[in-house]
Amino acid sequence: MTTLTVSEVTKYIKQVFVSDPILYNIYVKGEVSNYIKHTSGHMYFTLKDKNSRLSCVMFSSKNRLLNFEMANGMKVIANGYISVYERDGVYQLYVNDIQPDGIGSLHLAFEQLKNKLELEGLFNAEHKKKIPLLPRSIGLITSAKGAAVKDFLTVVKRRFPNISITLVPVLVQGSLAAEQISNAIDLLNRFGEIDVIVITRGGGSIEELWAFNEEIVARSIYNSKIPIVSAVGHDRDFTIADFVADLRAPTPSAAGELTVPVKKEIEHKIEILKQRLKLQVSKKITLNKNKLSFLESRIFSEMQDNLLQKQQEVDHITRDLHKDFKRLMEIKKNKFINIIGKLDALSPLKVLDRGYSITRSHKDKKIVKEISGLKEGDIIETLLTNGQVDSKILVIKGDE
Amino acid sequence: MDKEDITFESALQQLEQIVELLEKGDLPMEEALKKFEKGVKLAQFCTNKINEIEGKISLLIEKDKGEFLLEEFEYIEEE
Repeated sequence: MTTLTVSEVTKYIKQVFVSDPILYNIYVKGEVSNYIKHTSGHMYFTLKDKNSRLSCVMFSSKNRLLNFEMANGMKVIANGYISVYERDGVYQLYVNDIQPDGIGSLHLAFEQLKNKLELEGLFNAEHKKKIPLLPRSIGLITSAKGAAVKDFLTVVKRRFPNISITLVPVLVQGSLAAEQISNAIDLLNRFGEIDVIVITRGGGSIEELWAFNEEIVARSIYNSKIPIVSAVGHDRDFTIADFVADLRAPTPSAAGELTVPVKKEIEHKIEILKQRLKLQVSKKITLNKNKLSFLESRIFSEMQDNLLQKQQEVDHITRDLHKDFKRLMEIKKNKFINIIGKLDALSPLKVLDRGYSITRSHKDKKIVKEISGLKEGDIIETLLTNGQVDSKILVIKGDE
Repeated sequence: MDKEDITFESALQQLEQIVELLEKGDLPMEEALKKFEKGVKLAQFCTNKINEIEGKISLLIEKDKGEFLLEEFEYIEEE
């Protein structure tokens, strides 16, 4: 009998495992339990089925490449080799790669990231920005070659011939794609003058569309100040980018339709609005004109009425005036006759009736009141009540 | 109204509101004329906005941080 040390027997067993053609490279199917990710980055877990358990380790150098998050209860297929952890004397599976059992790892990764971002609120409607009606310039992130850019440009040019596009060419598949897309979003945000960003590529397998399911792209879309339309793949393809974007378009062509209005329609709309505007104002003016002329005619008729009234008043007053005047004249006339009567009584001619006479000079018809100025031989006229006597002066005698 | 500050969309919206307001018809004349004047300006603004877009398709390249270059883009059909 040979006696071996613990180390020796452990080493021997390890040798047996490692040189075994089956254990050297095996696929093991089971459910994950006791999963721990150490701060070193190494992953420790147990694969189990109904009857057995298998310890597993996946070093950080390997698990860095995993695109989904491991979790207890997950059904997986692990690939690696069986060897012995000498310190504890236990055998374990050293995992090189691991795939979810049933669905592909990308599908799982998709679901996992989708759930994570959804929980964080990246898909929430209140974060969705409004797509402008008329973008001054569209930031287009896609491959400069290929059907997507062609389809998109064809549609937008047809709808709005003078639309402006700022294209940032990127790889849309492969390991560099996600970072390029993410950088392109940041670039357009820093560039300015862009009203909406369209991220697009044509259809493809989940692997080909994978860049649009990467967290870095999702974060850039979420952080963009400019609204983003995502149009990745075809109608049935949904990517994380579609969920985070402000608007999802099913195809590149549809993205063109959703971001650019039909110029003719817009022009027509403006024209119609202009016409409605003019119609309303001319209606208003006509209405007011009519109102004004109605008021004018009312004012005129009222004025006329007023004038007639005044005329009548004037007539009345005139008539009264005439009457008054006539009466006044009557009074004046009577007064006049009265005065004439009085005058008549005082007339010197009346004196002649009573036997007095008036003497005047024949030459100058001046009344003779005294002898001075008279001389013998002058002719004097004596007025009597019913005639006149002319006499020659014979003698002039003064009173003593 | 500082026209440079408003977007095409809000100008069009304002124009629509003005038309609807006028169509209700209970604005005083002076107010209606003011609105009309504004509406005409907005319509002109919208028309200008539509036509002032250059229609350029350019490639955006960042040479250095913050230094941008725009190149004319010609679509090349893939082989």
